[in-house]
Amino acid sequence: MISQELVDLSRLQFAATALYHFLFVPLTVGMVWLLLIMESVYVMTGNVIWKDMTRFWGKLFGINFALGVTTGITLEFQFGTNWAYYSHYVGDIFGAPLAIEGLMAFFLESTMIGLFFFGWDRLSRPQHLLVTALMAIGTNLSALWILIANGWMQNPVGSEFSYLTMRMEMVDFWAVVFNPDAQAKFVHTASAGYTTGAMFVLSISSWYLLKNRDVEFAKRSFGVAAAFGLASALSVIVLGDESGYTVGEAQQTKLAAMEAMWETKPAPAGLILMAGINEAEQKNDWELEIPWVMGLIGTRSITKEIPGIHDIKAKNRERIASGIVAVTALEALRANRTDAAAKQVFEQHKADLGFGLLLKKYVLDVRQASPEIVEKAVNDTVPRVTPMFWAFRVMVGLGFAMLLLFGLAFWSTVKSGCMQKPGLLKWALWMLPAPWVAAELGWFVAEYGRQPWTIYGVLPTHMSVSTLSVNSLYGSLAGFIGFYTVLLVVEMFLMVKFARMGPGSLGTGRYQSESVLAPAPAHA
Amino acid sequence: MKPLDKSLVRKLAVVLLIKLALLMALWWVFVRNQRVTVNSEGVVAQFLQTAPGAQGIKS
Repeated sequence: MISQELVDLSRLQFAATALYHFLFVPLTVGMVWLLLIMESVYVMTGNVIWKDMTRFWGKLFGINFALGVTTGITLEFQFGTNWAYYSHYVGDIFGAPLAIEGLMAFFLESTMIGLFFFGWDRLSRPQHLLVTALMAIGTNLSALWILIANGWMQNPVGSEFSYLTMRMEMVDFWAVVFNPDAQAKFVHTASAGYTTGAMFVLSISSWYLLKNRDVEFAKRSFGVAAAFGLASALSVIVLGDESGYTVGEAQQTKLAAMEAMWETKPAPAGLILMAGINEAEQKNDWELEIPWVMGLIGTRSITKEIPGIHDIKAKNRERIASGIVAVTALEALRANRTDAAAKQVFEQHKADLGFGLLLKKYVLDVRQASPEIVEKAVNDTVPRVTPMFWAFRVMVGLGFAMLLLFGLAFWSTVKSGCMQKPGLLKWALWMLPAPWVAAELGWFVAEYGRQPWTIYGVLPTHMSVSTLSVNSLYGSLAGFIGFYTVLLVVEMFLMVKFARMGPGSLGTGRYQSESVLAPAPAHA
Repeated sequence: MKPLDKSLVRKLAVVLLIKLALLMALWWVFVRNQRVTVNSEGVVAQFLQTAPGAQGIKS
């Protein structure tokens, strides 16, 4: 049987590298639209301060892109090394959007980024604006294809298992592309990136305003970030609700764990704001609940029930029993591929094949699984509730706090009063990490909440890992963490350095911060 | 290009080169020799019990 330590280390390595990777991604995805807005105003008005804004914030965008690019490559290393069975089992489907992302979106994005930085003196204003627009489209297309791949892991549509090749095969490419989970994830994640970009510009602009330096530059940047951030934060909340709805449709275990719903409640269920979760007794010791709300946002109806964890487990117990039949029939089919009886049985039960494979964590021959082992597998089908419940609530809380901040910032911009509100500026400065924390927690909820599956309902995580040595995993884990930590330190150093310089780093002679940067006159 | 821009471009170029070197090193040390051959027979061996025992199916 596969070592649990090996599974845990492989998961830890992938989680660590993915979380590091996603420190860079949302800023790139979001800031590019702010650059497009600023440059559009420059092209339309000819006011050079907007060009300076595009170039200065573009410089910080460039630092983030240079440090972030290729940080996703180590994830692809791991698909081959640590997740070889996963790659074989679903590579036909999962590989397609990843390949399209590289060939279509990443090449477009990278080419346009080069033109963006080195094309200011070589392209006309409209041509450069077109480059910036294509850079924004490329960046977001890149996110789209990655999220189509991830969406398929959450809701594996458009594919079928083949007992001949022992892998999932794509039967409907467009079903994979237009997978509701993938689309909802894309718009939610992209909006989270826009919010991150807006918060970055808002926070640094607030710092300039608090220091009373480069005021006209900072006020305009603050205004653009406030307006874009308000729209983005609203989108991220509305589209997050849509993402939650698709989770309720396709991943009932995740929704039940996020909401600490142990029992199926009469429709429409209440929303549990806070709870004392008792994992040992599988209940909540106390709850603070708003009636009806969960039913309305989770099902879009007042009559549909949201199944609780106990009912989901009862259903999964039946699916595991059916899965044992599927595994047994598959073994017979592999022994004799013309066995019509085995084929018929397999076809009847193949939807539950993955549930049968859940038992392989505890027993080599699933037919030998005792009731205790079956019960362990049943319990595995729902992720731990406490981390899911609180991670989700902190993410949502941060989302609403950012909405409030952007709302107030927008209001003060409209009233031309942001300079008179140092409290707001300080709040905006201290909120700088908030979108990153929220985004990382969102990914935690999405991925930890999918457990015990790599492909929901199809492929258990413990069946996906390669048979590597634990020692090599400790070594590569240390190597990856060291590599990413170095990148993060360099990113922070360069970002802080150039943010402190401000627009004076452009050397245009138009900013007061340039006097600080100018070299001291030589004395004879 | 302004001196500060040149300085940033130089820094980013160095960072990218170091990053590529580190990635190559990681690949060289941890990935190059970890060849995991998986085919349908490998999956059968990993996922299923031995084929001869697969008799007596009950639905």
